[in-house]
Amino acid sequence: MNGPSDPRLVQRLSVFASSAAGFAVVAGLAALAGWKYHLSALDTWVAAPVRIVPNAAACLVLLGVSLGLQKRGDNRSFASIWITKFTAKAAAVIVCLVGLLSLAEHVFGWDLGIDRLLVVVSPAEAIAGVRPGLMAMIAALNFLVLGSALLLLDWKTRHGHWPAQFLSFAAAIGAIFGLFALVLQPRASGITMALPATATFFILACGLVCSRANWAIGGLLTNPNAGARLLRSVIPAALLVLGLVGWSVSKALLTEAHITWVEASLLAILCGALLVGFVTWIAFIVDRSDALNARLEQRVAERTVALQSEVSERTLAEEALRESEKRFQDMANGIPQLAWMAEADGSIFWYNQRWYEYTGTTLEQMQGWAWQSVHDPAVLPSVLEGWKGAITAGKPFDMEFPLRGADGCFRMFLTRVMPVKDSAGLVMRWFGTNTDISERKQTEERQAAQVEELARQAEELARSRFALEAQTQTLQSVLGSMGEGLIAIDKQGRFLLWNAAAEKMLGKAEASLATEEWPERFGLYLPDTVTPFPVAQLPVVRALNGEASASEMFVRNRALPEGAWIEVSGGPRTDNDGVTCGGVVALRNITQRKADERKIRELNDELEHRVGERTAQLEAANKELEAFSYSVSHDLRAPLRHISGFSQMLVEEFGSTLDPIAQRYLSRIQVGTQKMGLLVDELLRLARVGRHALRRQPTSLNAMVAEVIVMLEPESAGRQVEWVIADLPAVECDPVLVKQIFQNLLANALKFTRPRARAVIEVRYQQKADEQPVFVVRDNGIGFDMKYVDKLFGVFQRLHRAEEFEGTGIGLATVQRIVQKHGGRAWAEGKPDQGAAFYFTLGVNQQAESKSNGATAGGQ
Amino acid sequence: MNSKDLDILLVEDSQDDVDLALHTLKREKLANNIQVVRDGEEALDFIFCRGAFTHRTFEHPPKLVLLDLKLPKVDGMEVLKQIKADLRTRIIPVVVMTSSKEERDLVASYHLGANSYIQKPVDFDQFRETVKTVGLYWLVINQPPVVEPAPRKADLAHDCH
Repeated sequence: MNGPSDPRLVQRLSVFASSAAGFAVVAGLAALAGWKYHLSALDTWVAAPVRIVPNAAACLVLLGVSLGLQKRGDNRSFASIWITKFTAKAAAVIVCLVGLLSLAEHVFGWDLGIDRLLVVVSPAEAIAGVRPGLMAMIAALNFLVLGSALLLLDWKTRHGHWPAQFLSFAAAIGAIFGLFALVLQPRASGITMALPATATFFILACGLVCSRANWAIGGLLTNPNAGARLLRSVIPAALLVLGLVGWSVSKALLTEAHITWVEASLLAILCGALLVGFVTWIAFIVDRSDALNARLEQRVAERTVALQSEVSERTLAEEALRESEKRFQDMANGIPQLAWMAEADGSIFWYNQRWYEYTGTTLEQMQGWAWQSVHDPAVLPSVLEGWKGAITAGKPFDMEFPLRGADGCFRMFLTRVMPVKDSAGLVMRWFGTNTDISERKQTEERQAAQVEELARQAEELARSRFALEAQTQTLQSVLGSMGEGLIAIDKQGRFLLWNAAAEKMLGKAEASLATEEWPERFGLYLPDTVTPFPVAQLPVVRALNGEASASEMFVRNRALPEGAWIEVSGGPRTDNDGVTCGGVVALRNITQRKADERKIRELNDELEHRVGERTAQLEAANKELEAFSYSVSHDLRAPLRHISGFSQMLVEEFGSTLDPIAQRYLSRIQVGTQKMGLLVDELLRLARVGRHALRRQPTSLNAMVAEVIVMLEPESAGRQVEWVIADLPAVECDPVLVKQIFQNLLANALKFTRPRARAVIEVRYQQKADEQPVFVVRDNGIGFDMKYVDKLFGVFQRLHRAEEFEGTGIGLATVQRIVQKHGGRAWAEGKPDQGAAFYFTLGVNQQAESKSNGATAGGQ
Repeated sequence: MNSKDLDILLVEDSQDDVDLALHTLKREKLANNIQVVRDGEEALDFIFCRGAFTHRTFEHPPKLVLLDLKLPKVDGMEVLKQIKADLRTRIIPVVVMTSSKEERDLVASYHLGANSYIQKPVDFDQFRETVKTVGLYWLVINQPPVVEPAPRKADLAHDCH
């Protein structure tokens, strides 16, 4: 019955409650003022005989304050809530006490002095027992009831907030009773209370109920049910009826039935109460049916909503189903296999697109059991048998059989059929796929062949591994026995190989030794033997960088305390793609070689030193010789000239006075000095050849020979001489010296052909392959005996007497010396009286120009 | 041509050679006025008008200098060098006449500006012939330039005194 109250109504009633509280405070204060200043309008309102006493007025104020302070819904701080609550409750308690004590004074006739708290009693009144400040009995009772109600305002029992509201209800009845009393028996001393009190009580009682309008009685009035609405419309009317009926009945009863006003009043109130109670009961019943109705309506609404959602869910589910079927078909159309669906009995109702593409059929041609037309008739019976067996058993079906394609060819398919079952386990549909396995079959055959090939290769591999092992062993023993150290490393610088020689040179190291630590660990130094070898320059490091390099280093470590020289050459190892995958370093102990080299260097130095010394000596000797020959040329010739000059002058100036014998002696002196002069000149020439620095240049020998022949003309004058000059090649030689050769040889030839009537002098040359050309000067002169051939080229060696052939014996020696200076050779052949031939070569550099040049030279 | 002009300056240390040369020159009547000096220093004094020859002037140089190379004190090469290095004397013909026929002497002489290089032959006839030819050529056949008055008299005077 206590449904939720109408909040707007509750709000309005709450305002009324506040107004009631305010009204009580104002009415009380006005009454106090009226009492104090004898303004009866303020303490009686109408010209009634009963005045409100100050106690009652004060209590009204307190009641108003208490109600006002207990207003609901204030959002105040916790502390202020408690202060207000305490103040309100204290005011209520005071009112209760005043009411209780006043009531006690009335009932037991005690004088507790409560009536004199605010009223001054004159001595006359005191003697007469008049107590003007004592409030009426009904008022005291009402204060007690209202005070209690305010005290218990928010107290909730098991049934709700009924106590305070009932007390208020009682107070309202009390107020009505007081009104009756005032009207019916205004002079009833001690009972009748003043109008302000009565009215204020009624208003306060109503306000109290209104302040908690959604509770208990208030709740009955304010809930939205039909009963409450009935109450709200009926109760004011009921109260009005009650008042009028009560009034007239009471008046009548008072005059005709002689009942007391109290009885009349109570009767009227009883009637009113019955009326109100009856109305309330009806309202309650109405309310209940209303509530039931509301509940039913609510359930209908709920059911409706539930039904609606169920319907929409089902719609969604159906859509989803359609969607998923569509998706499935799309998917089935997308797969490379042939796919189909059949009813539970095996009749096919759907094929995927692939099926139609492969078989070249349509759904009409294939529906139901018509698919048999694309089967191989030979295999079909077993297919049917298997398929029907699967349908009967409701179990999956697997089989490989051929299907005819649109091109008429059969291809092998692996068929798989799965039953689709409902929740009860009954087959609803069959879903089948046919997978083309002809390629797979071929692949299987190929794989078999590959397996065989692999087995063959494995065997081969095993054989080559065996060979490799043997090779490895050979390599190991070679590596172990070789004198060169060999180290192989991988890309990270870890050792893959470290042969015995390397261990002997560097010691042993763990495979993971970083290359940066090599110089320190193995004691590697630069050739100065003290500076540690820079890591970046190590052939091993450079090998890892892809560079080939070689360097010499000095090694001194625990294994080699004496130190050793090693030559290290390194290079990168590359894999088949040419990418560097490590390095190889070869070490060679070159300590002995170094020592040898040092020795050789020392020897060389010594030799050079000795050569230098010897050269200096030679140079000194040469200088001496030069000075000597210079002196000779000056100082030896001068005296000869003087001898010659003065003896000549003697002959010319004193010849006539001289004895013929003396004259002959003088001419002998002349000849002697001439010979001596020739000798000196020849010797000087020979000496000059020795000192002469060889200056080779391309030289035309024919031109040279021609010049010499012209020079020799005085010798050949008056003689019959035949010159036979061959085409001589141009040669690289010193022309000054070589001219001397021809001069001497041709002069000799002229000289020794002098006895011949016709002299024949030839200049020729011979050349054999890969040999130096040999020049020859041949004559048909007196020749010589070969047993003296050794003497021919000696200085001062002569084979003929001076009377026969003049000469100094120096000419051929000079030839010999010039030829030797050119790196060539000179020799002679001859026979007595049969001519002589003088041969010479001019060393390795002689052949410079081509033969055509020689021909040109020869033409000159 | 002034008779006082000097025909030949003979620079020769050997008295024998001087006698032979003078004998030949006189016999052939090639030179009347011959001055003989016996070493290099004397030769330079003569040429540059100093020492014993301060009375000489540059206006009257010898027509020919016959210069031996091997000389006491200052050798012939140095004499040649100084004669040919000085503007005042470089036009004087210098014929080197020496016993040696060393290549280096030949080359050096010509490089220093020698007008001729002659080896004295051992044979006296040849010697005479040679001297005669040289004298004939330089004193008779050859045409020397007319000697200009010295361009810088003050300098020359200073040098001579």
